[in-house]
Amino acid sequence: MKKLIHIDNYESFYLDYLEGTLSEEERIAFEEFLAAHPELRVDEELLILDEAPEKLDPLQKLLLKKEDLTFVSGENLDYFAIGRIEQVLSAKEDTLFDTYLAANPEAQKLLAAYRETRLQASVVSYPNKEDLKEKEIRLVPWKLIAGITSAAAVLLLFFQLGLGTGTTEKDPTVMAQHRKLNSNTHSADKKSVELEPATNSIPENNTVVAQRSKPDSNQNPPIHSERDPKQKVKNTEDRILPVQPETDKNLIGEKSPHHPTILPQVKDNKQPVAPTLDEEVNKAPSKDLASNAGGSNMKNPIPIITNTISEKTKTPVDFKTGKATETEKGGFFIKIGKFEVSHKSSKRK
Amino acid sequence: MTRKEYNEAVELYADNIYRFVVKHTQNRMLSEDIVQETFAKVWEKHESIEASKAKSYLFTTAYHQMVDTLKKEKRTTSFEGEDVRQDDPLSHLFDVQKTLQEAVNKLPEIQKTVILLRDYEGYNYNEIAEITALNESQVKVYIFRARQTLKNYLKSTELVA
Repeated sequence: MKKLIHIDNYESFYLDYLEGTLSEEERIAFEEFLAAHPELRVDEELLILDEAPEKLDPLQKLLLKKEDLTFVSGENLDYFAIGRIEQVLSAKEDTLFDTYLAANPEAQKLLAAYRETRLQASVVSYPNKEDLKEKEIRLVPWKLIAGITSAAAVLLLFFQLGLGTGTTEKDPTVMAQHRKLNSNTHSADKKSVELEPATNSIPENNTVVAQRSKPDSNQNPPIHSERDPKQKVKNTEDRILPVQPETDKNLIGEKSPHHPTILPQVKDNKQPVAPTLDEEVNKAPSKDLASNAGGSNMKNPIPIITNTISEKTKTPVDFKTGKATETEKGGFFIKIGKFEVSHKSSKRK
Repeated sequence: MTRKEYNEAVELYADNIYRFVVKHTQNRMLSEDIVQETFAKVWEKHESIEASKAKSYLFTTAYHQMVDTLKKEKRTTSFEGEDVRQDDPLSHLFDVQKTLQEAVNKLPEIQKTVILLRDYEGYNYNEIAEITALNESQVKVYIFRARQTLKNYLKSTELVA
């Protein structure tokens, strides 16, 4: 018996097993077969037979057969009728059923009844179809992001440099930045240095003034007004003068004479456009190459640049220049972190 | 299956999946959740799914999702708590189809599943077998039994001869 149950015929045994109609020997054999083929075990929850008759009806037994039926009768009429609407009858069975239908009007009614069991598809729309779709997400390549970031950083750097060397001295924030940048070059001794305005070089009819103000220049009167009361300055109380960095070692050496900035005459309480230097001041010697090359109204930008680069890159930056003398060579020296470049020119003849 | 093919599958089959599920559960909100979960699961594996098998894969996933959900919700084939009855399009259909839908709702779950896949989606026995993890003979048996039950129900209401 055990050998008689195999993969091709187990279904009929299964149905009989579920119905409890197998003999004891068959039941044991089928349970052994199921144990050997667990994948064939059917979820019994799916086999709800509430509406089904207690015993397997002839239709289901017919369905389990692997051979074509050779005749149509009242017992297998349902099989043929359902098979017709399901289009699963063989050609031979179709012919048999057609012959039977022609001779039996009741069979035609039965076939019509089964045709009514076909569900007609109704239109049902899912309400949130768009929510189910996956939206396209465009990823920006990291190289593009890196490029834009680099470009922005370079622009920012140049912008910062531009502020440092341009005519931004009117901007208090920039002046404050200058003070911060130059604070490294300050010493306690330098703070106490009192500057003497070169009033001798200023013509009498020149109303421009020399000024070296402190950060709180609004509260403290300008130096020149205390030291040179003869200087004629109009509306000095209302005027806001630009702040000049107190000291700059590239501009003013400890022993070098002070050449004060000459401010243009202020009219209608307006800020001066740009500081200018007197001709005598322009003629004054300077130890700094950059200050000589920059023209009369240009400050030495080197400390600002080096400090800015140092701050941005968080790397120590140093830049030095030297003029060639009869005994020593001139040239320049730049150091950014561990990177150093230097150049020496020939001695002055 | 690419993103584009997946979105096309949504366009093509979302309504069919929803109809299949809502006819089963008779609960719109639950059905929407099942459909959403079905497509989410399919999207997770979309790279390993062939576009040509998308429909079959979707129905298979929806079927299993529905069975799991119904087990969790402890919803069985009953006429209780049906929230689609009031505004269901079937209410406007002919009496036979309306009664037939009632009869379908009375079928056991597996019979309902195979009959919905057969009539609404036009799947053959082999395809239904793949979706429901049955074999072809079992599908055939369930469909034949379902037809017989539906015919008897319609006859009992005297809507058919």
